[in-house]
Amino acid sequence: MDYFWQEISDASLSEHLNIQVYQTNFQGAKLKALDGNFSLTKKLLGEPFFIAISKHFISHVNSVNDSLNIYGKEFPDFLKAIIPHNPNLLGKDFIIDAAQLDWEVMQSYFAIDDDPNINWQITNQSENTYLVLASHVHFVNFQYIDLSKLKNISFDDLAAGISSHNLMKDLEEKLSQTTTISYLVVYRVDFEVHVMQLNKSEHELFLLLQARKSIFKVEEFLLTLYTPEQISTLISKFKTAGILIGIREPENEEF
Amino acid sequence: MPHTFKTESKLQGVGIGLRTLHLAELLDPSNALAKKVPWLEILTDNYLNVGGFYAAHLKALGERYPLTFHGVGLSIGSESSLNIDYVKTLKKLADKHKPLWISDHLSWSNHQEQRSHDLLPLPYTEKNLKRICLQVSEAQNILERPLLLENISAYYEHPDNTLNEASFLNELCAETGCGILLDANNLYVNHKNLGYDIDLYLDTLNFDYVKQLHLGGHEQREALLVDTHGASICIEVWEIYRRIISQHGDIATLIEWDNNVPTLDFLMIERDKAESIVLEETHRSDTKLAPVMQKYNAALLLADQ
Repeated sequence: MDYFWQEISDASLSEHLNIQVYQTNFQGAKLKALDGNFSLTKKLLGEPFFIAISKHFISHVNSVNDSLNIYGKEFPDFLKAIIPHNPNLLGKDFIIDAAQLDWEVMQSYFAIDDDPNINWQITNQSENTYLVLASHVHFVNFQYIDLSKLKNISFDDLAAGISSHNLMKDLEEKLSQTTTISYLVVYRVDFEVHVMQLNKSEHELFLLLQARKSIFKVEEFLLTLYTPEQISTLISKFKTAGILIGIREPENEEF
Repeated sequence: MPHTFKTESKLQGVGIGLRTLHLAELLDPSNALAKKVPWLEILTDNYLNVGGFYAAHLKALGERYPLTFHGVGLSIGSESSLNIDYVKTLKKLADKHKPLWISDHLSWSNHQEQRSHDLLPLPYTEKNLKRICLQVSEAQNILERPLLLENISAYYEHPDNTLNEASFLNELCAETGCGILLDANNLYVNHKNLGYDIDLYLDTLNFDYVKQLHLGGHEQREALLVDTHGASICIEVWEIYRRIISQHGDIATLIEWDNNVPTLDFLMIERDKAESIVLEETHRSDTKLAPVMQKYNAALLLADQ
């Protein structure tokens, strides 16, 4: 079986038609996965160029997971590595951000549903109690695209907008390198994925939430930045969006 | 001695494979076509470890239709050990949705840590039979259910085969208590590509083990037939199906159409055709039903005209 695997995984096409069928499937499954997982990147690059880059990626990165939904995690880093060496990609560093956004959007879209028993009902909060982020919440830091003018825009709007002139023009103005980092949170409402821009303080808050820091430490951090009323509004905003889904007190967890 | 499971199921009639294109119609309680669907097969791998839209529509479908789970990722023939994580995830999904059958393929897809995401042909040897028997038993013990294994379409035959596919399947079922999902199209494709003898195959296969049939389409690519599930079922495959039903009676059947997916009404024409063959062949020898069948055939003829 080893020899058969070597033949079908060989990137150079076999002279035997029957082996070619397997070679095509071997590549095709991963090409299809990248096509589905990186739709915004594909729109920005154009299909032929995207396919060429995808084939290059596939020749370097094997699929090691049962699900093709999680094939391509390394694609943004791969783009970052090849941009300086590819004349067609020079100056298009924004592709790295787009690919990262694509990836997190898909992870959010497919994320497992949270345990419905997580809620806000713990009465005696302790040092171990932490605020629970929904499993569909993901983060992206844009380093090359400044999206400061585009708030609460859904991914579908963004993807559709790429092909329409207005948003494309708007994006083109921002696609040059920027010195500021845009912090984004990607989350799911019902079955639709949304992208919301965060300010730097909100981003720091999310780092604490991701690390499951104690609710008291989170409060301590927030009080250095906001009034209690502002904190209440902020938490309420993330609760309403379904980003924060409750509080929890795990056993044997260190903070 | 591996534990064996009873391969009994209430699954009957001609079902269809779920495609998202048909989802709205299938979930519409007033849709006349959907009412004719006796059961649905879902591609299990699409629903493992996912939530949101996929989890929600699977739950809704499960409340409306009997489901069968059909997977492509089990890789039961891999030389490395059974993918326990995969089977445990499958078990979790099965416990939640209680499918009438869980099936996958008599093939391999994984090589060490790598995944091909394709169904690769196995060498049919005594050594592999023993190894796969152990893996099937291990999987069934985790699932606490029997598995059905499907004959794959293949474009390559290992030179070291010592058993034919039908005998391999018979032995596997006898040893582990698993069942067979016989794909008539795959048998035909292998006949054309690899020279499988259809008569010998069907005569050798123990139909006591065959619990489900698949019917699908293929496409010609140069000198090969490729199992694309992207076309209508060809006449020759319908004839194989008719022969199986004629000789072995009604067996739960599925119409598979995964690529170039047609509208639901077109797919249902294929389904209805399979159902009419079942009616014709299972009632052919029943003299009491002869007048009924004459009327049925006359009605079909009229409908065709």
